Parts: sequence; structure tokens; C-alpha cells
Amino acid sequence: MLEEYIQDLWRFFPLPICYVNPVHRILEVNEAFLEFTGYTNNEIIGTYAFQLWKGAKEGSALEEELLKRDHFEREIILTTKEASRIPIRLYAQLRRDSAGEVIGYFLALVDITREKEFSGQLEEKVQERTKQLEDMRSALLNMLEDTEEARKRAEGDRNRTRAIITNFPDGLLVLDASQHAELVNQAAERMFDVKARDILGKSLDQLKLFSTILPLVELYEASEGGVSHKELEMAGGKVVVVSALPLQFGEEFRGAILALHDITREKEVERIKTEFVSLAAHQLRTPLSAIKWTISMLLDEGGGKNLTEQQRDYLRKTYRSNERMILLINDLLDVTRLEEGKYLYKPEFGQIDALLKNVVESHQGEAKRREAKLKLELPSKGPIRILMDAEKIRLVFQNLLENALSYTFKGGTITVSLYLRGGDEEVEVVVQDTGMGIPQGQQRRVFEKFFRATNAKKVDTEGSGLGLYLAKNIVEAHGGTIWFESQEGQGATFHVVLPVKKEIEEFLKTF
Amino acid sequence: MKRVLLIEDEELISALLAKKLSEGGYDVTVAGDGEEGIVKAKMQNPDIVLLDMMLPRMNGLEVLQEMRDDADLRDTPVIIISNSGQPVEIEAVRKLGAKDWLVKTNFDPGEVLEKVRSYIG
Repeated sequence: MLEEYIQDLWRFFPLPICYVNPVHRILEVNEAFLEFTGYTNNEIIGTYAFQLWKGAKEGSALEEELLKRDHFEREIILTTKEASRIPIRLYAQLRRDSAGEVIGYFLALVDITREKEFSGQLEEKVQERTKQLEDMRSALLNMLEDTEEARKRAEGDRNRTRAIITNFPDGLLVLDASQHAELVNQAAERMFDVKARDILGKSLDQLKLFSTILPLVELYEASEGGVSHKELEMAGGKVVVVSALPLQFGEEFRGAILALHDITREKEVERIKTEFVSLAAHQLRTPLSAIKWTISMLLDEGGGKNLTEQQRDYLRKTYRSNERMILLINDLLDVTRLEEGKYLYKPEFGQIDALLKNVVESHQGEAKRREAKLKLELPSKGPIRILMDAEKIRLVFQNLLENALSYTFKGGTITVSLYLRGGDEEVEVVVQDTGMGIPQGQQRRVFEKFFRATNAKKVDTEGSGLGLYLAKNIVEAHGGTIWFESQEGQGATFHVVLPVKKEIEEFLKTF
Repeated sequence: MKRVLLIEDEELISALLAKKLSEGGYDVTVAGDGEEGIVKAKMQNPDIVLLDMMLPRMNGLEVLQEMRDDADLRDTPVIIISNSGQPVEIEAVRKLGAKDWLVKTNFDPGEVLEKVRSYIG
């Protein structure tokens, strides 16, 4: 009864099991075992149990180990009849008789293919991941190496930059993002007459306590983040051009560089030059006036009556040449005076419409001689008063009109118009002629000192090339602008825009 | 006859102008430097003085200043004839009461004569 029960159970059991005698011969297997290994009952009974996992290097070791212990569990590879190799977990259970002698053992086989596959995948994954990590690690190492290199390079760059800044001939004061002095170079130390250690880390307000730095900081604050240039006089009579340059990265403010460029020498050279020209011009005027007066007396009714007509003609021509020379020197004097700052600007409110009327009237005679029409167009609203140095503004329009007349052909028209602009904040004067115009290629040089367009030189050999240079200087000193449009052969139109009321102080300081 | 004192160091200029003014009916005295000019002005008490600015010994501005300090010469009209013409200088002599400033290169002797006539007839 019991035996049957055991037989049934044995057959039914889904786990492959077998019973092996102490010398490892298989005595009995269940159905599941046959199915699993692919052998028939006849083939398997009596065979050496370990042939099932033959080739497994641990075969003989297992054999011995098995008999030493009651329980046993080990993962091994089973070879089926079809020579498939299946990973299994082998369970063994020794059987002993009542005397304790081993009479055999059970073996149970658990297929762990799935488990192995899974763990194999896992292993693969782990390996893969490990490899990734390895790669990452080496990449990271590379990066670190690169970073180190970059750091060294950056440090080198920074040292270089520092060296450049320190030894830069211009004074440099660098502010950090919180507007504190971060760096000051040697040139700036000299210009400010301070030691770097005394100003480093100081805020703008603290820097202002140094009288030599105050104007610079004020200029920087007034620039409100924009770039600005201005001439400043420093300690010891040095003249510098200061520039404030904010360091902006996108929206972020990273500080600013304040640069001081020493132009003392240039100023001195300029001064000597203008002084020389001024002196030379004065020295030239004396003999020129003597010549002028002598010829004038000779040509006078009384003085010149004994001269022949040819002699009188020579003298008239000499007189005219002399006049030309005088004009040139007057222009030269005006320019140098303008440059050496002696051109006294006396801005007062004056009538620009009346001034234009006067200038136009005084040129009507010349217009008639040249058979040109000279018109003036004034706005109905008047008088128009603007803040100006009338004497200098007159010079501007005299020059523009003289040019227009000189370069306009017979029968041409010159129109001078006055407009109120920008909500009566500005006036614009337009001087338009129908003359020869200015060649395209030479237009940008028109306001340069001594420049004369090639076509102008052919028609009028007398011009000094200083008129428009003067005009531009005067207009700009008033805070105005001057420009023109022209096409060669089709006349030129000059525009002068002047503010009705400009901050007086500002343009007084310019001169 | 109205008296004109011409203080001018350039001999050619003064000779030409003196001739022109004489022809125009004036009694002309010439001084070649500032000091001489002051002496002659005090001696003769002229109706008008034509004064150069750049002069040896005393310059035009000093001559003018001294004339203004002299009761007899304080109201004598003075016309500056100069080769210079800087606004600062013009401003300075105007404050000292000079009537006019003529830049020599911009005027003929005839025009100077007319100016003189316009002030003293």
C-alpha cells in the first residue's frame, strides 16, 4: 500500500528526480527525469549518474563531496541525450540505514535556464553598464585632464592679460560687477598719483574721495553704462582722454574698464603747431598789409596818375594776388584760433532770420555779377531767435554762400531757406545751389581741412579749402550738425541744423 | 586843421597812411614806438590817435591804458590799427574806450581816412 503510494507519488512528481546507489549508479528515475534528460528508462537505469554532467570539471569532486554530507546543492550543467547543455541546480539527499551507513541518495534537478538567462541578461546589462561607467569614467578623466589643461591655459591667459594690463601704457582702472576697484595698473597709479593698495576694493563713492580720481568716476557715472570719451586734466598738468567701457555679457553686468590715454604730448605738439601757424600768419600779415597799402596808394587818384595803363593793370593784378594771400591767411588764422581755443564763443540770443537776410543781401552784388539768382525763403513766423555766437554763425553762412556762388553757373539759382524743426527746438538752414556739385568719390572729404574737390579747383583757384572745415567746427561747437547732398553736375544742398537753445556751459567748455 | 597822431612802428605803413591823411587835410604826426607815442600825445593833445598794437617798448594796450589815466587824453578817440584781430584783444581795448579796431590787411588807407573822418570830421 505504502509502496504503491510512493510509486504514484514518484511518477507524479513534476520535478526530475532519481535515486542513486553509493557507487553512483542510477537505480530509479521518475517520468519527469526521463522527459528532462531525453533518455529512456532502459538507457538510464544502471548508468553512472555523473555521466549526465560529464565534462563538468567538478564531476569527480562532486562525487566525493556528495558522500560526505547529507544535503547537497550545487549549480551544474546537465548534458541531455541530444547533447543539449542545460543549467540546473542539483539537489542531493543522502539515505542511510539504521546503522548510519550510506545506502544511496536522491538527486533532484531544477532547470534554471530561465533564471540563468535572466541573470545572464542581468550580467550583460551589468557589464554593459559597467562599460558605460568605464567609458564615462575615462571620459570624465579626459575631461578633467582637459579642464586642468584649460585651467592652466586660462591661468596663463590671465597672467598674460594681467601682465599686459599692468604694463599697458594707458592707465586702466577695472571695476568689478559690484562697482569696486578690482585692478589698477601702473600707468593709472602714476596718473592718479595713488598706490594700487590704497584704492583696490574701494567703492565708487570711496574712490571719489581721491581728487585725482573724482572727475573720472563722475564721468563714468554720467555715462550710465554707455561708452564715453572725454578730455580731462590730471595732476601735474597731464591731459588725458578717458573712456569708460562697461563689460556687459548679455544682460549681465560684469564690471567696467576705465581707460586713460595720455595725450599731453599730442596736446603740446598741437599747441606748438597752432602757435607757430598763428605767429607765422601774423608775421605774414604785416608785409602783406604794407604791399596792399603801397599798391592801393599807387592806384589812388593822386598817386597813380603818372602810371601807364599797362603799369596800372600790373598793379591791379598784383593787388588781387595779394588780396588772395590775405584771404588765405585770414582763413588759416581763423582755423588755428579755432584749434587753439581762442575762438571766443559768446553765445547770445540773436535773430537767425535777420542774420540770414543780412548775409544774403551782402551777397546779392556778387550774385548779380555772376548772373545767378539768390533767393531767401523765411518762415512766416518770426523773428526766430536762437542761442548763437552771431559772428561765427555769420561766418558759416558766408562760407556756404560763397561756395554756392563760386560753383554755380550763369543763370543758376541759389536758395537759402530757414525752417523751424523738432517742435521749434531746432532751426534748419538749407543752402541749395544748381552748380557743379561735388564728385561722389570726394564727398566724404569735403569737411576736411584744406580739402578742395577737383572740379572746384578747376573753376576757382582761389579757395583755401578751409571754409567748410571752419563751418563744421562752428556748427558743432553750437551743438548743431551740418551735412549735404550732392550729385556731380546737379548742384549741392547743404543743411545746417542748430539747436534753438543748447546748454551753454557745455559748448563753452568745448572752446 | 585837425591833428592826427599815428603810432606805428612799420615805417612803410606809417609813411603811406601819413601821406593819405595829409592829403585828406589832416595834420599828421608819426611816432615809431609806444613811449614816443605817449610823449607826443601829451605834447600835442591830438584830435584822434591811430594806434598799432604790436609796438616796441610799450605796446598798444599799455599806451591806451596810460592815455586813459591822463586827464587831458582820457576822452581822445583812439582807433586801433593792427595786424592781429583776436576777440580777446578787441574786447580789452573796447573796455578802455577804443572806438574801433581795424585789421590792416582788411582796409585800404583810403578806408582808414574815411573812418578818421567819421569820428572827427
